[in-house]
Amino acid sequence: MSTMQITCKNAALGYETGVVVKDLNFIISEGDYLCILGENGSGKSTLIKALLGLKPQLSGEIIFSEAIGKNEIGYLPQQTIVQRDFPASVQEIVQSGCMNRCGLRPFYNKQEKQLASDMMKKLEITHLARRCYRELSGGQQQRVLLARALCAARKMLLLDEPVTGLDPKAANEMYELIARLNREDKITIIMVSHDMNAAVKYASHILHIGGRQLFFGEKEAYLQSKVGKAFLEVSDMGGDEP
Amino acid sequence: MTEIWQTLVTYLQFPFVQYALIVGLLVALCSSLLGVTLVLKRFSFIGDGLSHVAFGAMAVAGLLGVSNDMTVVLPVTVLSAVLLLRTGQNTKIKGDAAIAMISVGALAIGYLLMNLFPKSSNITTDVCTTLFGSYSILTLTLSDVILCGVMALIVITVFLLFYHKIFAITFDENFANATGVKANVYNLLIAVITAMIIVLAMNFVGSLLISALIIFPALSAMRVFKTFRSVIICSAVISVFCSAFGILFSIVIDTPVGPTIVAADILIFFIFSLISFFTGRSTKA
Amino acid sequence: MKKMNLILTLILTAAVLSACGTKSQAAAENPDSAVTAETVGNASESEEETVIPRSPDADPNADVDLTTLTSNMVYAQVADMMYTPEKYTGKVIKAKGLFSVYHDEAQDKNYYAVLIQDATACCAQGIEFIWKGDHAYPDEYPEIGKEITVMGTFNTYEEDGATYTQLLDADLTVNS
Repeated sequence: MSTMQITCKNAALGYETGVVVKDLNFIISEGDYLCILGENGSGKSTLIKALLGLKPQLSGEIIFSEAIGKNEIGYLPQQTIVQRDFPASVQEIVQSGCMNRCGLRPFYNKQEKQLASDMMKKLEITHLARRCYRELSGGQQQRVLLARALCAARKMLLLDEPVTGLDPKAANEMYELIARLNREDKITIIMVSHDMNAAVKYASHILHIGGRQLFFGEKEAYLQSKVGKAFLEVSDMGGDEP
Repeated sequence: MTEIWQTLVTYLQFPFVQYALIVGLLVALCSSLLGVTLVLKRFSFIGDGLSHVAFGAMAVAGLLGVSNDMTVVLPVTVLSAVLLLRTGQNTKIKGDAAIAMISVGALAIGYLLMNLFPKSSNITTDVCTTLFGSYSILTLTLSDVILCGVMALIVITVFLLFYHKIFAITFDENFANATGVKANVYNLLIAVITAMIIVLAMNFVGSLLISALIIFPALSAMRVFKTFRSVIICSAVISVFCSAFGILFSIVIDTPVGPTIVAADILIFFIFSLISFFTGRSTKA
Repeated sequence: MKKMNLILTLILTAAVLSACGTKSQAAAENPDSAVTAETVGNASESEEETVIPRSPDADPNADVDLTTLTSNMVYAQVADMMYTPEKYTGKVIKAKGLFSVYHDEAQDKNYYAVLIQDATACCAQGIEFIWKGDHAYPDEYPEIGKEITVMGTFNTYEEDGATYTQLLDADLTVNS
């Protein structure tokens, strides 16, 4: 349908000590909304590292299209303990997303500052620019980090459990925001989650892993598949909601 | 009061007092700049660890009869800094355990060597001044001051040039890495300049008190200020002020220099804690 | 050549000593004067006349009066005198501390010193002095450990290849 951005062929990922996840075969195209599902320890975080180009695959191939480049993925990591009491203004954090554009230049130029303020406007956090990050609500903090990710890369976003720790309302807003970015700005979304309901509601494609690739394909096909049905049942009963 | 003032004015004319002030302020400035990053990265104790390594290296340098301690102390300390950072990443020995291990190990071996092969007749004095730095700040030579000036210049330049990068990797190393900022390179850079500052500061407050110089101004500033830049600036101001006050107070009232500076830093920390408490600005639990 | 050196250094010594005025005669009468001259000659290569700051209540007869400084300053001042003795050679130093004696077995010679202690008594520094005039030890000297005040002319000399510092022609008073 549209241009391929990441192609993964027979890739196996892991450490020297052993393979964590193997048989990965999937394609991510422009404008996709891919949701990566899997239990804890299924290899999700290893896959994230590989997609970000931080960890080479053990075997097989992961091909990034030229348009996307290796470090051109905006990343929304899970919050760390360090950040919780970090003294920094929203503006400082959003601007730090422009870092990879600077090279060795020690300061941000006009375009980068403009980009940062555009992104804050897009995510409706301009009024928070001078506020201290640690004093914001969870939802606001995630928006700040999302704005920073957008400064780093405009074509693809990789979100690692973006609603962890948010209350249902904030989580919902976050999902809507991501969907809007995907819909209106044609930004490719890769979301790692174990929130089945969100995946079903928003994603266009599903990648389900558990030590190896269990399923890859469009959402509709997934819902009909054996893996999908089994997982859906578990989620419904188990109350996997945060 | 006028008498104290008069004494102060007189003492300020002594070259070694001027040297002490110059070196003291430069070290305070440098350590506070890095302190914020180290505290936020949960590396507060790296200062302690490295200073003990420097102490051990000093003992070895004395043993080898090296004319200039620095030629041994600086490389060894820098190397340890790099190693400590490495162990932080691979998890065989956890970061804090590695720091503790190297820290007390170097301290013990250093003292052992000094006792087994005494360089000078007065070991207690040597150990006392190296650990608490009571007086060595007042016995600097012009070449010490120049060396310190050059190193401070390097540290400040590096810090200014890489300010935004240091912020980025301090706030979120994963993100920085993911977007192509070489976090490891900058971590290494931070480790190296931290080591340099510690070697510098050893003369100043002594091995045991260096951590105070690194963490107190940063912690005080973080109580009240809310942006990274204002925290850095405030911490630098606090640190420089406390050091100047500590040096002048100690020579006039006759207290040991290093502990006096640290006491001033502690006092400021409490004042800032009170300010943040009463203004209700601190939202931290 | 060696003679030339000696003469030259003697002249320099004279110049230095007369420059700082008081009590310069003593150096010539000193039995070690040749050694003294040598070292002074070496030292005077760095010719600059350094001005040593003084506190207002300092003894007007002394160039450096350690008795009016706080002990931190005393420590630093004495350390400076040890590191850069050339700056202080020929200056009159006044110091207060505990009387102490070191007996050198090999030469059967006594060295007398004033031991200056700091506030924590951890870093004591000794300065050797030679009391003006003839005095018999131990009869005329104070008891070891007594607090004394010493004022004498700063000097360096070499012995067995090492450089030592001393106060020449010193006045000694026992503090009660």
